[in-house]
Parts: sequence; C-alpha cells; structure tokens
Amino acid sequence: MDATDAKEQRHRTFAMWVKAHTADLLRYASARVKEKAVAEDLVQLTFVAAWETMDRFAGDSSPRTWLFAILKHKLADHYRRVYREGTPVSGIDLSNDEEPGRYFTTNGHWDGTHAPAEAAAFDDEDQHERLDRALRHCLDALPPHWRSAVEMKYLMNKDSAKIQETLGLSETNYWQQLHRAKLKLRACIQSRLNERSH
Amino acid sequence: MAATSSHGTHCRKATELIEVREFRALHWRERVGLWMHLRICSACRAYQKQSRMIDRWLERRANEGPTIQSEALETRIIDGIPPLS
Repeated sequence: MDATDAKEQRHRTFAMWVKAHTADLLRYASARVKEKAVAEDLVQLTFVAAWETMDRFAGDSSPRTWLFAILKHKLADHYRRVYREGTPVSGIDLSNDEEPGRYFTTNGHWDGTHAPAEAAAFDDEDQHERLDRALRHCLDALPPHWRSAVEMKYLMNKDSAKIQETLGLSETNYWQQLHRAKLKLRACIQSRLNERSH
Repeated sequence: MAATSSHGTHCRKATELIEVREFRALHWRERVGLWMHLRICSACRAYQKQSRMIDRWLERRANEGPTIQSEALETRIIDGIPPLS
C-alpha cells in the first residue's frame, strides 16, 4: 500500500514538474538550436533523465535549477555530436581553412568591402527588434558545427578547458573556430541590417 | 581603414585576439600590439564593438520573451514515462 502511494506521489510530482517547467525549458532550448523538433527532443530527453534519477534528487536545489542543469548537459551532448559530424578528422575543421581569407587580404588587412563599418547600427535602440531578428537568422545560418563552437562558449561559461575536452580539440583550434564563426556571424548581421535599411 | 601597427599586429590577428581575450589574459606583447592597432584601425574598433554586442545578445537571449506553446510536448513527455501499472 505504501509502495503504491510512493509511486503515485512520484508520478504526481513528475507531472507537476512537466507542467511547471516545460515551456521555459523549451524556450531556452529553442533559442539555442536551429530546429524546433531538436529542441523538443532535448527537453523530452531532459525529463526522461529527470524521471530516472528523481529519487536521487535531494532537493537542495530547486527542481527548476536541477532540470536546467540536465538540459544543459543534453545541449552539450548535442553540440559535441554536431561538432564531430562537421569535423570528421579528430575535431579539426579541414573544410573551412579559406574562411578568414574571405575577409582579409594575404597581409592580414581587412579586404575592402568586408571591413566592419562603424556606422552599422548594432547598438541602436530603435534597431533592437531588427537586430534581434538578424542575429537569430544569422545564428541559424552558420554551419552547424561552427554554431556548436559558439554556443559552447556560453553554455560552459567560457571555460576553455572544458569546452576543448567536450569538443575534442586543442585550445588554438577552438579559438580559431570561434574566430571564424564570429567573423561570419558579424558579416552576416551587418549585411542583413544594410539590406533592410535600403 | 585597415592598418598595421609597428609591432606588426594586423587586422586578422587583432580580431583573433579580441576573441581570445574572452578566455584568457593576453600576454603583454599581445596587449600592446592590440592596443596600438586599435588606435589606428577604425574597422577593427568597429569589429570589437560589434563582437561584444553579439556576445551580450548571446548571453542574454531567451531569458524573457513570449510564452511557447508546449502542451503537446508536455503530454508527450508524461505519456512517455512508465504508467502506474
């Protein structure tokens, strides 16, 4: 009888967590992966893990904090997988060595039209919404493994060592990836903003 | 305008250092090189400003915003766990 009560209680608690936190977890995940279906899967995986380990959840943090911690693990797993798929040879990105060359001359100077324009209204308050859309668009437009490199920076609070371990690449390689990704992201945003204002 | 400082920090290197600085302190040579370069290169100053703005946006995003429809997913999750036999 007690066992059944405990089981029922467990189900009730779990259902409560699902009702209370799914929307927020989904919003968090949706902003960080391109496909909505992937975001939903990550949230579902989070709850599967929560269900399996909920007896060990001691309650010294809030369920919300705990669930977000699990989701972040799932996101890290996802980025690692995507990163490895984009870089078949030991985490090194062979396909995109030409990328910085697109923005710089062989001397390392900005190549004419690619130079960042000071006037680009990146921080104009009126442009806030347009900028928001441009950022979302450009983030989704990044090659998936580059996006993984960018997302890891924030997911792991700029812990370089942990990021390298997760993605399986050297410090220098990681910074190179991030540099490339940032160059592309910035250029994309600037061109989106210019496009719309003319 | 693109430019090279006397220490030879060029735009490609400067923009890389701007990203690296987020993770570790720069060596004094790097710091001086970057500083001198930024003084004379408006394009890299613009890059730095925009790069930081992107960082801030990435850190802040989705902490607010409209509620997402999640009822279908909630049902799917609850249906996915073992029933109370």
